Amino acid sequence: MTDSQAASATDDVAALVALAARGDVNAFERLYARSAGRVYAVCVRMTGDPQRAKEYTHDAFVRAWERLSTFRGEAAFETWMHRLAVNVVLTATRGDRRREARLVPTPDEKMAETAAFGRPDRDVETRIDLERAIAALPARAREVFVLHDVEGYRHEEIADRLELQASSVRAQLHRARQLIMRMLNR
Amino acid sequence: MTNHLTWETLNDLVDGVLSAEAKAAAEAHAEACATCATALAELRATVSDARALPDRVSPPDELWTDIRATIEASKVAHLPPGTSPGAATRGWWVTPRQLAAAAVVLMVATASLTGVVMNSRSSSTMAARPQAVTVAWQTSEKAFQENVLQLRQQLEMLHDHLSPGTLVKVERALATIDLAIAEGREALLRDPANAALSELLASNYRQKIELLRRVTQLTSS
Repeated sequence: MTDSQAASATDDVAALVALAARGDVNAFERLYARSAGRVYAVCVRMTGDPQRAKEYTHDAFVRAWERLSTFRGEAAFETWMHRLAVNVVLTATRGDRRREARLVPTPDEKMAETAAFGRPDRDVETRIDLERAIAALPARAREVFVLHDVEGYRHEEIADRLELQASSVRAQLHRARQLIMRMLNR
Repeated sequence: MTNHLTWETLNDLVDGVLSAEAKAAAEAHAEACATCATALAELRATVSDARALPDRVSPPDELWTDIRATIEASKVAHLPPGTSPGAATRGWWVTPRQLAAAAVVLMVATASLTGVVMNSRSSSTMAARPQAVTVAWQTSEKAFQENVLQLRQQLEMLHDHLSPGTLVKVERALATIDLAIAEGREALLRDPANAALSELLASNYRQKIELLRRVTQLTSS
């Protein structure tokens, strides 16, 4: 039995992290298997785009691999990975926004408005509808909604991460909820 | 009843951020006003549904394979103690033009950095474990060379798809990196415990692999 197999068998995350930090990719694969679903979930919800979510999840795990030696175990590995993924998404979307400084609504904003006022779906209570509604939100509103209502971040923490005023975070959150409720015909 | 609760007040009530006085007033209004009570219930249901979403979504099956490939490409530079594995992340270059421009920048930066680090070797780092570092780098270089060889073979097959101008710039950048690697390697052999040199050499290795990888990806896409 290899070290990584032994670590996996004993369900010892700390041991897997230690092995991975020494270059054991198999140990890192086991860590990936434990946390990938959580990381991908936050990436796909914050971007509303499976392809970008895949890219950001990729980047988050590569960065984690690079920084394993800095993981001290104060937080659970999965929590550490989750925060790393949020940072990856926010850094990337911040860059996107700077490049795409705009005066007109982006396609997803148009889609959200259309969806909000256009079609009264019947089976709107399902989780899939909510996921779709989240994906259709304008980018900033989606990020705030996911961080606050899905992930449980506080207003102040979101303001800090997004470099916004707390009042702007609240306004985006309220707008996101309003759009989602319209899309869900509530 | 007139003067319904505003949307902001409803949200602040749900989020628990109203003052005690404002909260009591809002709740009293909602109890007496069917319109606001309904709006409040729907808002609470929406927030509750969001909080109840599953915290995991299955990623695409091939994602780990991609991550592993990136890690393996960078792993060759993961040897000196305290040195992080590869910084080879996606999105470094996007187009052949950017690739060529970046290659030129890389030539200057690589040569300059090597000179700076080689001139700033600290005597305090000269003592520790030279043999261990040397053995580690030998192992690293073998893996590195295997990666480079594979990528070189792939690039050779795609040679005709690259514009001559881009090809010249890329080859020039590769030659500069090779020179920096040779200089860094020579310096490291003289000063095996110099962590800055180790990091720089690792960085040069990563740059070469990443450059080759990007060129092959861009050319084949």
